[in-house]
Amino acid sequence: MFSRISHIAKFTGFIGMVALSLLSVSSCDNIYDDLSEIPSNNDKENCYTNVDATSYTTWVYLNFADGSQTSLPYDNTADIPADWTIALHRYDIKTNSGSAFRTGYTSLDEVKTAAKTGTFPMPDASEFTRDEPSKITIDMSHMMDGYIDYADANINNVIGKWLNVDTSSMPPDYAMDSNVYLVRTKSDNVYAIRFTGYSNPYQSNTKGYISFEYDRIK
Amino acid sequence: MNNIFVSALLAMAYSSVLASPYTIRGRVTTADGEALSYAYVRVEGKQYATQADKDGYYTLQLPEGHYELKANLLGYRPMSKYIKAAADSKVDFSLTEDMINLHTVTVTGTRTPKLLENTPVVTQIITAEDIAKTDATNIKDVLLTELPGLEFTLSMNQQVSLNMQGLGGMAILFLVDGERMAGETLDNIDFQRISTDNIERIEIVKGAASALYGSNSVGAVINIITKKAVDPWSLNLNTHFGSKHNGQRHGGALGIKSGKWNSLTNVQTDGTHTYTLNGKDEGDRMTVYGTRQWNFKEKLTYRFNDRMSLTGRAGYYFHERNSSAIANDRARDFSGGLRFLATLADKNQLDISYTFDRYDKSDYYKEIKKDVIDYKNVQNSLRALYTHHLQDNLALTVGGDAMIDYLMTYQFTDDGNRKQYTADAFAQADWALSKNWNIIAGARADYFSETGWKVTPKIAAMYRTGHLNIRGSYSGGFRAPTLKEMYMDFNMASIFNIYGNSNLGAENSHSFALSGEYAKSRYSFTATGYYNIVNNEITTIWDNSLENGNGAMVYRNIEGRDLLGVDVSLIVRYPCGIGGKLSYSYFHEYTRDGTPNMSDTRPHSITARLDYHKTLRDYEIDAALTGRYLSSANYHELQSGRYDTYIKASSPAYSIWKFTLTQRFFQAWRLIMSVDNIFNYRPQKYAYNSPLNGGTSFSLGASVDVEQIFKKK
Repeated sequence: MFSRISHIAKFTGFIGMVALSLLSVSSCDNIYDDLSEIPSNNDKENCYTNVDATSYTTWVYLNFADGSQTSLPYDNTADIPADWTIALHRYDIKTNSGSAFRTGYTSLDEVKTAAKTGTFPMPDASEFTRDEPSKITIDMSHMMDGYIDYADANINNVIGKWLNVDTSSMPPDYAMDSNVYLVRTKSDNVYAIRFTGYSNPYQSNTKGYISFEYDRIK
Repeated sequence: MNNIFVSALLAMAYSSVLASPYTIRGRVTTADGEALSYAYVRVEGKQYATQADKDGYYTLQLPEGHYELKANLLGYRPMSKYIKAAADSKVDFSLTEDMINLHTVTVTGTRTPKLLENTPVVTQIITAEDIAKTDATNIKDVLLTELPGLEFTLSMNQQVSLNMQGLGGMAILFLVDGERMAGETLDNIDFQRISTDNIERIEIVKGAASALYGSNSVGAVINIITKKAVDPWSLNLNTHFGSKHNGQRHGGALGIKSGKWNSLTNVQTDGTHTYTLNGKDEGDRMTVYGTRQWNFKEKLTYRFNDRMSLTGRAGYYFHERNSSAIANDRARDFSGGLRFLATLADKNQLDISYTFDRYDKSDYYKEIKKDVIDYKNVQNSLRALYTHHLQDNLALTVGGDAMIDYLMTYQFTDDGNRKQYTADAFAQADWALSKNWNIIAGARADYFSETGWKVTPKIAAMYRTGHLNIRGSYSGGFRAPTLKEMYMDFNMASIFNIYGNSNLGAENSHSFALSGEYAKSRYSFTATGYYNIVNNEITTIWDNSLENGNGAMVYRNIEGRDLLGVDVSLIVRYPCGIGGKLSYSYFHEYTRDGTPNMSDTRPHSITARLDYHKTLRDYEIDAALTGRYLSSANYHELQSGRYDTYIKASSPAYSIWKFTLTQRFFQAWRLIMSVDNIFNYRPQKYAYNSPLNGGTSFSLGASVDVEQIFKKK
């Protein structure tokens, strides 16, 4: 009799233990963070966060002077804003008749300090590279049929190195360059830029959303 | 705390020293009376064990009591004798050879335990010993070493994709102790979730099996049977280091068998760093993302008596992959379950189980340290199975399952969720008509709340004469459309949209198999032919009419394919310890609508193993050379930029060889050394179906079975 009671007690304990482990499973949502907890950095100065450059048919014009952005179809040249610094098309970048330089620094603050103290002498204008005629992809929808549509555009191949998308292997390998780039504008201002992201946490990590911080150093 | 634990172990180990008044002696021989040198003799469920000497003689000191004495040696069928230790006595064992596992019990082919040699359904077995010889970390490594006609390749975003004789991950059903696994990525389960540390054996039934298992068993069922504790207590600790990519694996297993309780706890962690592969072609390179895994499993059984038991399971799995500079992919699985097993009168069996399995995917943003979930698949299943023996030679199995399948994913509109209810009932008769004939017939009806009913039949027969078994079967298979395939609404990297299709019908297959097996003590030769007619296949196709003529991908049922496979396998094993296994697999795909063959499945593949095992006093050695050859594949693909022109494409042939040396000292310490990719194979150009080990590598592993140190000799 006693052993039967002890059996029942053990059995009940067993069920209880399993029930408890299952209950604790139902609360495992708590280990995740809410999207709203992620700081969007939108109000941070000198920072573009998750700029939507996902469209293959759009250039996004960014004006570092006022932090503004304007999206236009790639073939619309009539409405390009009067003032802009760089423009984004997917991972392609063009400058507004400017040029670009890749520094050996990986921190914006370091570049600023080094530029101020003279540790980092400002490169000569000839060391900056201008935009060059190239092709941008404007239609990937036929990728499954085996061809892709391109359009002509001037892009900057130096700052264009900020993200290396290696498609030689499947899947593509994304490698973001952590070095600081310099962009010299046509009016001879120099901005330092450090890229911080190419995908958007708010959009299931969709690629083509670009984030970077920048500062004027000259 | 540690001290208490160690003291408890020591107390358990030495408590029996106090009274061991009786000496049990005997000899372990072959059936012909030849000595079996260094055979093991142990007391089932107790801490007493010994090893016979060179001439097969053993002695064991036991206190008064009733015991089950068990003798075993690799290559022989273990033998048990029930003894009463009340005086010094003599117990001899004569073991029969079982070089090729014919006496292994299998369950997958019929859902009731049957010896491998007696099951009419062609079943392949990979034992725990086979797995140990391969030094594998997860199921992927094991299957690659043991089965030809199978390939793991990379699909988009470097996700692992299975190709088994022309069929993908959705057409192969993976089960763990008969239970389905939640979660998939690009139509494949997470193979890294199935770590090898608690696998007792793997049973593989090729061909359709939906009459017993329902959806997804279009091409094969791979059932992983897990271990349970054997000794009163056992503790294994193991570690493994690879010379390349910082490959590591560390694990532990704690088993406790006490009275009516049996508990086995397994913990394993493994991983590699991100690494770059360089093909022989100038400038060719490929980066392989590093991963790390944690696997925790607990299995606890309470036996009410000889006839009834209740088993609880709990599992946790964690996986992280360095997939981008910004965010890492993460996956987690939480599982649990209860299973009640009862043997009623006349060996009739009742098996009722409940299983919970939840698989999550999330993105971990490294810089801001936030973990955001974007995929959750939860499956709650209830199963019942009853086997009734109408007569000695006629068993009837009936069963039913019910499942709720919940899916939340970033691939649904607004990261939404969907639910599906499924239920099924099945019946099977297993009839041994005579000494020579065994027939199994069954049918199953499945109901899906989203797509309705599906009925599948099967029939299998076995004819046995002497050492020859001939098996033939027809079985139906199907795969119901998944929630993902019905309701996807996903923008693929701003390139195109992929849409689900709620009008999808089930994919189905008619599968024929014919197999001959000749097995005699040390040799086994098996040849099996498969023909699988797959209809109504579910896939994504490009539809130009969508998105206002811009086109989009959409899930559709397409015509299907006919698949022919031939497997040939030869196993040889000699008592001197030398053994080998050679398996060859042929595959051909027939297209139906006159289009050229676009299948990149390799027509010929071979796996080979040559091994040597020797047991000596307090020392065992295992040396195994395993190889894998895949022929080149020649197929067609669409020419770039054209809709209607096919061009020839090919994948190169290759072979990979591995040598593993395992030494075991005092039955407790194990040292494992291996050289992988001995001949330093590297492709000209790394592709999605290249082997990713990047040239010759070495590994070193060590393992200790702590309980063996404390065993009473």
